[in-house]
Amino acid sequence: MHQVVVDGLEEFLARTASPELRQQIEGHLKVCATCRAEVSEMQGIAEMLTVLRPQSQWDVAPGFYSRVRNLIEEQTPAPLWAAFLDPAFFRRTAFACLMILALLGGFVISSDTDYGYGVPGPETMIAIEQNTPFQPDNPVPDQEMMLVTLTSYTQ
Amino acid sequence: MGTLTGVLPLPAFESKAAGRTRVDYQNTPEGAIVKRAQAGDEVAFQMIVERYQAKVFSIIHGIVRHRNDVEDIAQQVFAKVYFSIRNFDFRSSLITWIYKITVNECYDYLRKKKVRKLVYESDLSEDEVRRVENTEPAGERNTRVDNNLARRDYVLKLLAKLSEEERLLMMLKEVEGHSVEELAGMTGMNENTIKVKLFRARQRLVKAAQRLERAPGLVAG
Ligand SMILES: [Zn+2]
Repeated sequence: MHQVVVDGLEEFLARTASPELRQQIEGHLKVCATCRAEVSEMQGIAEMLTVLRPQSQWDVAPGFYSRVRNLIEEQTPAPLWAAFLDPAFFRRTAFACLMILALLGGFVISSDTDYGYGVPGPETMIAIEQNTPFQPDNPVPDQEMMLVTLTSYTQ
Repeated sequence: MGTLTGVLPLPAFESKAAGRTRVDYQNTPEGAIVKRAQAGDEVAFQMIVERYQAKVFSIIHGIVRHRNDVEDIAQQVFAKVYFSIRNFDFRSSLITWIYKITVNECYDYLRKKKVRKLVYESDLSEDEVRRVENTEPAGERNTRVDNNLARRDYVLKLLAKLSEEERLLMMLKEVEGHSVEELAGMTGMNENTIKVKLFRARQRLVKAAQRLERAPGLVAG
């Protein structure tokens, strides 16, 4: 679009241009098809936009402000410390503590039952060690066992 | 909400440029109310809601035309005003700022609701729709509704191609009917800047319209 049209475009479209400005622009539009087409499209779109104009005065239903307040309260994030004041928070915390206690207690009791005969004394440990078969004349199976153990460990 | 804080940014060079003197919105009676609302004064916020609720409702109704949803959108607009009023920086008038929030909220709504089907219910309540369906011949009814709604649909699609600022300026100019001088006063920009921005927006709308004519699917809103 040529500068002569650009400069007075808003006044021209709003029909508030002075007679001289109007003549100047219209004179250019007569000889310039490019500007003529573009201005015409702009006029058409400006006219189209009026479809969004409100048709009638809107009556706001009573109590609108309190409904806005309610929405604001719904959307206000609760502060972190508010959780501590919530009775449900206390109930949940107490329940969680009880559950942990119960679990720990259960674990301690079940571990204790494995040692139903009591903690093995030194003599028991020696007896267990002495029970392990020792075969100095045939070390091969032991070496094989060691190799198997090592291989499975690295895997 | 970040986009709302910098409504209508004003480049430094513009304040010296030719044009009308900028309005100092902080030192108006309304500015005092806004400052109170920014400090958490509920009464001041209520005054703002009551002053602009009718305007906000009619802007929404102009865009959305779905009577049942207008109040919901208006509530959402004022909730946004409440949560972001601290970011309002007095560069524009309060109503210009609220206008922008309202238009954005309408576009959010349209995006969510896939407007095409909704606008067909237009201005009418469900009862009214039923009444019209029973009295008006289907042919006439469809033509009337089609013309208006197709135009609205088309215009909303075109406007969706503009930036938020361009859309705001075009709507204030062509829908609300403000002059360039008034726009300068409302936005804190000078008249030349407004003219340049409007010109760019108009060019963009022309391009979008041409694209829409060539390939209707491309300018989907
Ligand atoms: Zn030209």
